[in-house]
Amino acid sequence: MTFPAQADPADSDAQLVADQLALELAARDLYDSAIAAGAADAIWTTLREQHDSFAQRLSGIIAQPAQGASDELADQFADGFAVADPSELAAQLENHLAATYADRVGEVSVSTRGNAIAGAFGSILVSESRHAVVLSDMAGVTDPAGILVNPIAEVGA
Amino acid sequence: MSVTDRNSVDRRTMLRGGLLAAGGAAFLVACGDRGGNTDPGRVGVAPPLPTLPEAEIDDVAWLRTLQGISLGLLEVYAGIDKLGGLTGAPGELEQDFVAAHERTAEALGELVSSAGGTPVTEANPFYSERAIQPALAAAGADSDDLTRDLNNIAYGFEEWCARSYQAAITAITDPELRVQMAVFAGEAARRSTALALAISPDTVVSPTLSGGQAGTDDNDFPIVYALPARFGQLTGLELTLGAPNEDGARVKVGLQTPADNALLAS
Repeated sequence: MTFPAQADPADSDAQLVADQLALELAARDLYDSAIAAGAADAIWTTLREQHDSFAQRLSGIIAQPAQGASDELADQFADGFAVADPSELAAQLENHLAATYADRVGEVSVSTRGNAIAGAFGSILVSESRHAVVLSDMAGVTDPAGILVNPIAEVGA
Repeated sequence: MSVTDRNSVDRRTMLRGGLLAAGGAAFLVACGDRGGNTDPGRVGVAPPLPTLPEAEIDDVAWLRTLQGISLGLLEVYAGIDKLGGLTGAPGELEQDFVAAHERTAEALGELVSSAGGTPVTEANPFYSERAIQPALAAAGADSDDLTRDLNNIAYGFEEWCARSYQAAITAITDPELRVQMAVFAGEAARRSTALALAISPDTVVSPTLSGGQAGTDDNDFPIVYALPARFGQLTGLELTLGAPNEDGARVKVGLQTPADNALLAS
């Protein structure tokens, strides 16, 4: 008896994690570029370390070293990031990352391993949503609608 | 050997044999099946406990529970308003938060209906009775700093809301619903963060992010931070409220993310 070929859900989960890992490394590098450009406030180092920690957690889940930062994300944000105060663009970056996690939570398999991945995605998404609020505040955004809702992932509520 | 000797030996043998037979019979009885009621019995006289129906914990139960939590946050803000409302920078956020909870509760109600369940119409009674009403009562009774207590209530419940939605991301199994829960979790975390910034704008990053410990103020109230931890948390919270009693202790109210006994099964 033969069975039709099926995609291995474990592999697709690992690919999802690897994709997010590449985004986190790119985010870390973007904050590095800001620090190198004179972003001296301690918050920039904190955010850089946050994304480095997220990358480490994701790497641990798939038990694989990172394959490198996402060039696509780096190219998208690099121009405005290497300045002493990239708070407005950094808020956009955090919103973008949080939105990506929200989308990909729905692509993770419903399995023990998949749930661990979804749990990690959820906990990182929550932290990055917090980052976005802090950065929006630093950028002088006063409209609550621009702070309390992710403009990139406005679903349902 | 005499006749007398032979008779004496025979009696002893007979006695030994009889004792062995009686012991063996007792052993076999002890090893046999026990009949009758095996109930251990009860101390005291009381009616027998009812058999509770099995509750099905599924996606609908979680959606209904979260809807009850959002409605519970509306109960929190209604109670805060009765005590004078949030003031200053936190007060500027209150109406937006109320509108967000109304919107979220409505969206969750639609999700419950789409999933074949019945939406809830009031705050989750488990949390209302154990957390919301006790917290409001503690602030309203004899607060020594009502502004502080109301800020802490609003922050604590918003943070609890964020943790509850985050917990739902893995508790719910439908992939599309998981995406919705992730969005709700992110929005709840945004409200908690915005409120932390409004309450305590100078304490943005918790020392826990650099290996330290979260701080307390001069009266041992926890300091709120906009970035309280490296990752989103799922652990419970404890609110400290009200004036100290004669022993110096203040009211503590625990806030836990949903467990099976708090879920609103259909």
